[in-house]
Amino acid sequence: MRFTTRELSILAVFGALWGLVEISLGAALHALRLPFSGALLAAAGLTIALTGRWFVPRRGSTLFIGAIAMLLKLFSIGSAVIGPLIGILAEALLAEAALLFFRRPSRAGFVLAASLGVLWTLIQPFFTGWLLFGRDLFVVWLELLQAGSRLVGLESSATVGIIAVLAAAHLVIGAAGGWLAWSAGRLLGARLGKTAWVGLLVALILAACAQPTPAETTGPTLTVTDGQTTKHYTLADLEQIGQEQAAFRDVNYRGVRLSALLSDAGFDPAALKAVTATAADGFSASYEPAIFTKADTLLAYARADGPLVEDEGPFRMVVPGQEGKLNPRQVVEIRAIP
Amino acid sequence: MKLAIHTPGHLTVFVGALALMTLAPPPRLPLAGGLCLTTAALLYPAALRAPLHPGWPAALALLVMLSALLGGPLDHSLGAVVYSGAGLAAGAQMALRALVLLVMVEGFTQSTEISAVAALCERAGLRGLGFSLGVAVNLLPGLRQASRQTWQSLTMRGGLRRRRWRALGLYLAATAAAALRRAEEVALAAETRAFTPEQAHYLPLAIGPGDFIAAALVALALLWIVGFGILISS
Repeated sequence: MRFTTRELSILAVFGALWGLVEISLGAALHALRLPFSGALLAAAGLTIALTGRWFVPRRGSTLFIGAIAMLLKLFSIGSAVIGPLIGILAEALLAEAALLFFRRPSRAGFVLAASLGVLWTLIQPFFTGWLLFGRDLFVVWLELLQAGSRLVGLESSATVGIIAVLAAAHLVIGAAGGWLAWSAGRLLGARLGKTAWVGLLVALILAACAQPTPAETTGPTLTVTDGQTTKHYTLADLEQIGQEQAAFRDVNYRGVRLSALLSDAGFDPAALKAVTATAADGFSASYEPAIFTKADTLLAYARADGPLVEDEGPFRMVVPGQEGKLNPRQVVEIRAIP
Repeated sequence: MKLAIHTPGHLTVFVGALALMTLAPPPRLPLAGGLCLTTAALLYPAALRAPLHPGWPAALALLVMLSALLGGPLDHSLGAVVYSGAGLAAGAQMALRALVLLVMVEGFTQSTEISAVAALCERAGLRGLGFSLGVAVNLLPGLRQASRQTWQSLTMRGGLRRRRWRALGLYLAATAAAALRRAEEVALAAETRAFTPEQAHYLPLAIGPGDFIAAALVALALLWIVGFGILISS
């Protein structure tokens, strides 16, 4: 697996966050000896690792984050301790393996990955027990189990039920972590403009492939997305949707109403909480419903008297009466936040 | 001249001991255990104290006792106590295996440098781990400071008194966003200095003749105890 410098930096951030959680929360949970503390710690770590996966959606990135977290944990302890080493690596490996079944990042993939990773905390004592004492330990455990079940008057077959309940609890904790990771990724992406990074990567890949693509043959495109559904627009597409006019700082612009664009992309503007416009340099502006549903809030593609000037095109936002930072230039993406 | 063993050699010895104690046929287990403990005494004398830590002697004794009482038909007696011979043998084997592994784990952890673990991971396919690890280590103080400041801002604005979940979400998002912005700065700085993962050097990993000799001795021991052991028993 080969990552770019930018991706390595992002993986470092999420590895550091997981490491920080292992060092601080791990020590606290270990001291408190709460039930399911191992599962909770694993879920927190995997939530962070999968949020990182959202930003670097490439094979091996979850494992990479796990390796960084493991090494930070070992640094904090001061020596190589086998338990955390096996635990963190196994959780990251299982999550990575689960994500292999999904071609594209999805909430379902994240839920499965985190569930499997957290399930490891239930399995690890059996694994380390086998490693340390060998198979014969299970004979003693089973005998003890039968003796215990006779003592409390339970059928030994009830063990299966108890293990199933424990496994289900671990899976649910993991699933919650995976669900949270997907939401956190979307929230952070909306705040920071993930598309600036992804856009850069896509541009590099397209340049490397050197094959004609729709973007090259039809000119610049605008992306309208909610993270799950994505639609691309060329200048001609936008002109077909609308040709409204609005003014900002004494300049008249021509463009499409933002609400009409959102409707065309398949989103109901009335059902959205916010809309974010992201520029090519990663700058983003967020709009509340009162602004993005206004009739004169435009995604402009031209000036009334000619094309947009070079440093504001190919698309820009025009929100009359609002300050400059809500009128970003060189917009590449509109993100709908439900 | 003293032959030095570095992390790869220590790792080989540890994995070899684990393989010996896992794969050796039961009649040869005492031989494997003796060999491992002798190696530990030579390489990691301080590690021999590991099984004396509070809890371990009692745990091992309990394991042997439980195995003797529950691990098979009760066909032997010692005074008034009836026990299983097969169970006692199995318990002794488990205790020996645990004893050896405790000592070897202690020896391995005492002799291993974390940076060498990172270097090994990098060579195992996690290319760029050295760079990321350096960034992560340097990010930790910044992350702590950012999270503390965000927390203080939230408490000063009373964000935790009402709508706690939303406040918690904002806290986490703000902390992660600050960290991501820092990562962006680091990436830009690295690219400005013409850093690329392809051209980056691997983390240094010391390796010498001692490591190869250790690997050869481990292979010989495995062949002698496990390989011949299986041949004899078949």
